[in-house]
Amino acid sequence: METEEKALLQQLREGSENALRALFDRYYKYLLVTAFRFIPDDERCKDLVQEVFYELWKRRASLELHTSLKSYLSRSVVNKALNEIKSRKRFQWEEDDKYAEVDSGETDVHDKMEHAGLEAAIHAAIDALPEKCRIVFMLSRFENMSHKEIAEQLNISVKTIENQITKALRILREVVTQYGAMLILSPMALFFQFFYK
Amino acid sequence: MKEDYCISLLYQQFKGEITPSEASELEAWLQASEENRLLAQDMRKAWDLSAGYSMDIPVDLDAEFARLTDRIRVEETPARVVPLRTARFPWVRIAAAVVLLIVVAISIRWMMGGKEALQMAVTGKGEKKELLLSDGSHIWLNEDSRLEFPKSFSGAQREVRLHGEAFFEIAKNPEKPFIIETSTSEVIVVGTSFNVHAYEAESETSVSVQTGKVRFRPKSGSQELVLLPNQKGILTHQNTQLTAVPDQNLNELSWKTGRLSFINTPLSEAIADLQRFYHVEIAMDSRMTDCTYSSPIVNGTAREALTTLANVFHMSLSQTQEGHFLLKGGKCK
Repeated sequence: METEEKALLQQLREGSENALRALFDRYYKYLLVTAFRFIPDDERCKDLVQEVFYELWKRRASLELHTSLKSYLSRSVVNKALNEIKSRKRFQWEEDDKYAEVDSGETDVHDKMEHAGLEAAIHAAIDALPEKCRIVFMLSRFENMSHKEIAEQLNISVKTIENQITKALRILREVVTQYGAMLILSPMALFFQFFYK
Repeated sequence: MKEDYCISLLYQQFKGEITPSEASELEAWLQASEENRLLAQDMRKAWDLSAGYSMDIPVDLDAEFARLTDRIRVEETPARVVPLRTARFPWVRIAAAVVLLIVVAISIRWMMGGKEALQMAVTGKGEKKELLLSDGSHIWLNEDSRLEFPKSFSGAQREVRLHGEAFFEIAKNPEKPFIIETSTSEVIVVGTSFNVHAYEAESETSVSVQTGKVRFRPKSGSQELVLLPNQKGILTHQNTQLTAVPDQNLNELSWKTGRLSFINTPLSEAIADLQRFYHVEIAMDSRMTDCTYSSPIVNGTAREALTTLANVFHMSLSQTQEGHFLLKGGKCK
C-alpha cells in the first residue's frame, strides 16, 4: 500500500489524471465522512471534499508531505469545515461552559436504545451533542488533535476544551447508565407482572 | 479529588496519553470507592462504543470525479469571454438575443407591476441588514445598498433586484431559478452561496462564488460566465468585458462575517484588508511587504489587531492621528 501510494503520488506530480482518480477513489468517502462530523449537510460536505481534491491537483507539482497523504487530506478537509462553521454569522464561541450540564433526554437516543441497542444509542447521543461540545469531541477523539491544537484552532482556552470533553463523556456515560437501568427494569417489569397479577 | 479532574484523567488514559504521575493519581481515585470504579467502567464502555461512530452517505464517485475534472478544465483553459452560443447561423444568435430581451422585458414588467407587492430593504452608510426571503433564502445586505423583492415568489422564477452589495445563500429549488438583476447584469442560480458586488458608481460589478454554481451575464450581449466555488466573475461597466479569475482573498467576505482571517498572507495584503475592514490608514516599512502573517481569527479593535501583528514581527506601533497608524521597523519571522 505504502509503495503503491508513493508511486501514485509521483504520477500525480507528473500530471496523471489516472493517479488523481485512484487517490480520489481511495480517500473520497473517508474525507466525506470526516467533514460530515462537523457539518451534517451532505451537499456542503461534497463541495468541501471537491475543494480538497481540487487543491491537491493544483499543488501537485510542489506537494511536499511531512505526514501521510491521508492525514494531509484529512487536516485539509477539517480546516475547511471549521472555517465554514466559523464564518456562519450565528456561530459564537462563548466561554460559558464552566460546568458540564448533562442532558441526555433526547428521544432519538431512547428509541435507539430500545430497538437497536447500546452502540446505536451512543452514536445517536454523539449526533445529539451540543454543537461546540460535539466539534471538540470529534476533533479530539477522531482527529487525534491535542487539547492545545484544538484550542488554537478554535480560539478558545484549553480549559474550555477540557470542560467540553468532560461534558461529552458525562453525556455518553449517562446513556450507558440508562441502558443498564432499562435492561434491568424491563425483565423486572415482566417478572412483577407475572407474579403479581 | 474533583470528579471532573478525574474524568479528564480517564480520558487521557483512554487515549493512551496519560503520564505516570497522572496514572497513579487515577489509580488512587479508583481505589477510593466502588462508585468511582463504576463511573470509570461506564465511561470506558461509552468510549469503546463511540469508536464505531461513522456515517454512511450515498455517493456516486463517478459523478463526483466528473465534477472535479470539469472544474479542472474550466480553470486550466484561460478564462475569457464565453459566448452563449457559437452560432453558425446568424439568425439563431439574433433569435437568442431577442428571446433574452423578451425575457428581461417580461421580467422587468413582472417585477414592476406584478401581482406580488414589491418590498424593499435599504441600508445607509455603515449599516448592514440580514433578510430571510419567503423561499428560505438568506441575504446579507452590505452598507449603502438596496434590494427589491416580491413578498412571495409565485412565478416560474425567483427574481430580485440589487443595487450595491449583498451576500446570498439561496435555498435550493431546481424548478425555480433565482435571478438577481443589477443595473448592468443578471446573476442566475439554482441554490448556492455567493457575493454580488454591484455599486453603480464603481467601474465594475463582480460576483464571487462560495459554494454551488452561478451563471453571470451582462444585460447586453450574449456572453455568459459559469462560475464555480472560489471563482470571481468581473464585469467592467465601461466596455462590458466579462472575465473570470480565481478568488484568492479570504477576506472578501469580512464585511459579512465580521471577521478577518490570515493564513500565510503577505503583509501587504493583510494591511490592505485591515485598512478596509477598520476604515483606518496604516503605514508600514516597505521591506516588510512580503513577510507572511497567519492569524486565523482577527477581532477586537483596530489597535488590538495591530498590536498583535506588531508583536509577531517586533514592530513598534504608534498612532499618528485619529484613524492613522504607523508600524515601524520589524523583521520577518
